Amino acid sequence: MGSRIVVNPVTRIEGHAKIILEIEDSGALKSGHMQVLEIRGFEKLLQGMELLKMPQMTARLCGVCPAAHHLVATAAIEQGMGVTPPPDAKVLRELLYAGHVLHSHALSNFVLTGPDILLGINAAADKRNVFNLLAIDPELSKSLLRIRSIGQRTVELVGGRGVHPVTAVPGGIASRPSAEKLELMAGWGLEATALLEKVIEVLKPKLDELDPLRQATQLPYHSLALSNNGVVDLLEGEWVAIDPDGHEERRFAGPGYGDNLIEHVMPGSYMKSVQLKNPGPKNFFVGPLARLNVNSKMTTPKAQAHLDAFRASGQPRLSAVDFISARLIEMLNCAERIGVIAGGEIGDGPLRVGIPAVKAGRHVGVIEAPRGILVHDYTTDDDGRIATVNLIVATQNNYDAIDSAVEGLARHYLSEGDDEQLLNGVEFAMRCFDPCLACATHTAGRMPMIVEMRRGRELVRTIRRGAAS
Amino acid sequence: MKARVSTDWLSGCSGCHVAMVDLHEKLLGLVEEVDFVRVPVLMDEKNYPRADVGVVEGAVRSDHDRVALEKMRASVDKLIAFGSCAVYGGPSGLGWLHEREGVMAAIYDGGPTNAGGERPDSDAPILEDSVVPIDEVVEVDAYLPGCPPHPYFIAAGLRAVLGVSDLELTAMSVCADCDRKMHKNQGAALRRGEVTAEKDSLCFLSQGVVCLGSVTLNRCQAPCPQSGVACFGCAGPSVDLITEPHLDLRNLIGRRLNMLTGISEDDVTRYFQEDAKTLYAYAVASPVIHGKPTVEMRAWAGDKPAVEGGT
Repeated sequence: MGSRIVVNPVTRIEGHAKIILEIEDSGALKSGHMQVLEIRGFEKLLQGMELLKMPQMTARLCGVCPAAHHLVATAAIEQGMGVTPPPDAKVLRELLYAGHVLHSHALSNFVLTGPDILLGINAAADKRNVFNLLAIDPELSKSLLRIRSIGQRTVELVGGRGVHPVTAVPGGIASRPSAEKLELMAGWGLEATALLEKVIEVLKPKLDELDPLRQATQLPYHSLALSNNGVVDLLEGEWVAIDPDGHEERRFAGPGYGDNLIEHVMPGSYMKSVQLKNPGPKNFFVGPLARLNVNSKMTTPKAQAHLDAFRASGQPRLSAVDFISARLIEMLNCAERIGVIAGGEIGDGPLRVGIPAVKAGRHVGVIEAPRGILVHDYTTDDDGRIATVNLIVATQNNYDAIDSAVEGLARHYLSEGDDEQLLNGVEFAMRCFDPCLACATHTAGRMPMIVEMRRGRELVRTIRRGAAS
Repeated sequence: MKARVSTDWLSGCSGCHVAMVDLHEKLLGLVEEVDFVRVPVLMDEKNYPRADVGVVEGAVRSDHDRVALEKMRASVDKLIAFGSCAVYGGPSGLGWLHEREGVMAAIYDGGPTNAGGERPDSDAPILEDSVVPIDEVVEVDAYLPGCPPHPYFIAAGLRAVLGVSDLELTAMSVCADCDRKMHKNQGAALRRGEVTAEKDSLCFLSQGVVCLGSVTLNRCQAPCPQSGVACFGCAGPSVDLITEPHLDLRNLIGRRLNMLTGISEDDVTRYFQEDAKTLYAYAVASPVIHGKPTVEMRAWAGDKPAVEGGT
């Protein structure tokens, strides 16, 4: 018998969750586990809908990464129909997505996790937020927020809207931004690149200080990411898994995921976990760190230089804390690409090709969401409406890794006997993955922070920051 | 003293909260005007401190949502239903059409990767039998629909509720901010399922594409039709539809399409009923829509029995 600690709700992540720590009689940690407390059930909600409206409808899965759902839905329909969008449409989608990933990574690294990095995990709970960061260091904070704004405004100019963009359609894209808007975005790309180079210099020593936490969250897991011949490509590529020693374990094309992955229900949680199978089960993680472990090349020079330095200090990198550094490198890549694409890669060719009538069939899309591999798989009936839907989202793919990191930091902080640090330590472990529970359970919500301490099924103690119950 | 603002999110996507951050530089101004005492995405406050205004995103799906909403209501003077899920159920409200076990089966059984036959144990919060907008649980003082509402309307709405400025929200439809010209175009065919049209300057309806802009409240500044994509109705029905029970989306759009192109009103009505789940997606769970005498939403798109007095 052991005891159980619960953290609820977890704050500064996107969604509703709670953390359970199982404690042995000896007081040692037995296990750490995140529970996800909500579900909307888009697998059911989408049934019977018109296939061609999936890009706009599925964006509503998530307000933080709607562009990922918007583009993977478009890719799925095109895969099923055998349609290839024209070059201008492809590069406009890449521009939209570079803006999106810049926004999403900035939200994670700066707004949500930034207070932990810059103010410290042991800072007082009521001070550990972006509002206080603004008060303490307005100059730096405004740079951080400006980088996110540039990303989100790029989405707005190319996608029509910031949250829930709409312009990608099967066969291409609905409109081309005006010359004035492209010029604006080209300038933003340069501005964000320059700001990021400064911010990376400020954050680097702060991230070095987290080395004890880095050691406590080592994940002996496979890295799974899309690879476009060794280049980080968020929108196209094969699935590649490498083992913890860096050797390629498997490689397969998009629709083959059903032969390689299996999902299971986890205790007390609406979110399913995913493992590799055939052979398996094997644990893996996805996301920015997996992408930089699997691939050695990036499409822009400054990001490439940072990636080379990152890989030079040991490969593959396996700590949850390394996700933060990986995100910074990808942000630099996005900022550079925004400048280059808006500065002259968009021509005046056609934006759309014709598509065939919708009929019964299967449509599978796979892209890299900001948090990792995202799958939309639709079957349609004879009338062209959605019959069944399978969604595998990035945070689900990271479920086992999140639990492992939570255990690592719980073990690290339990010995210190300070509840407040334990609470934020395990929350920080989750935040490293930028968990998006809106996506993951196709719901959203509060981030709970209860830590429940349990001995077997018996609840021994609940730690809830400042809460009455 | 600065006004105190508290926010929460229920069953939704968190996009309304991101839209608040999308005030960009104006957010910094707002931070100077009000005290945010609870914002779960940004702050570690887990309780419901006393506040002047509560802002709630998302619909009520679980007992967890209901309890959180009741705590929020009890802690604030005025409550804003923020975004289409809170106001009408929104996309979360599509669950109103279905039996709970059907939803669970679609998530956890079948498909290429499910182990199958597994369900979350009783440690997970209990999903309620259906999904409802928040005003079916607590009293709401102000409604701000949109998926999400445009940051312009968020700032305007907050200021009005706080008494900082006069209410400047309008009752116009999305067409008010759309530059496309509506012209007669006899002979255009009904383009079911499509969201784009050939001509950028001509109204979608004139081109036979079903755009919901004319039956949707403008809380967005018309970004979709302005970017080449027909309106999906994400902010919910326009004011005429809210106030007049006998009017419905399908009648109004059918009439307009018929007058502009000659497309038969019956064809449009059939399309709306056959694809009700897509075309009414954002307000399905609201009595404003399913309570209309001519709308049979669960019969058109659901698998639950209809309720008395409507649908």
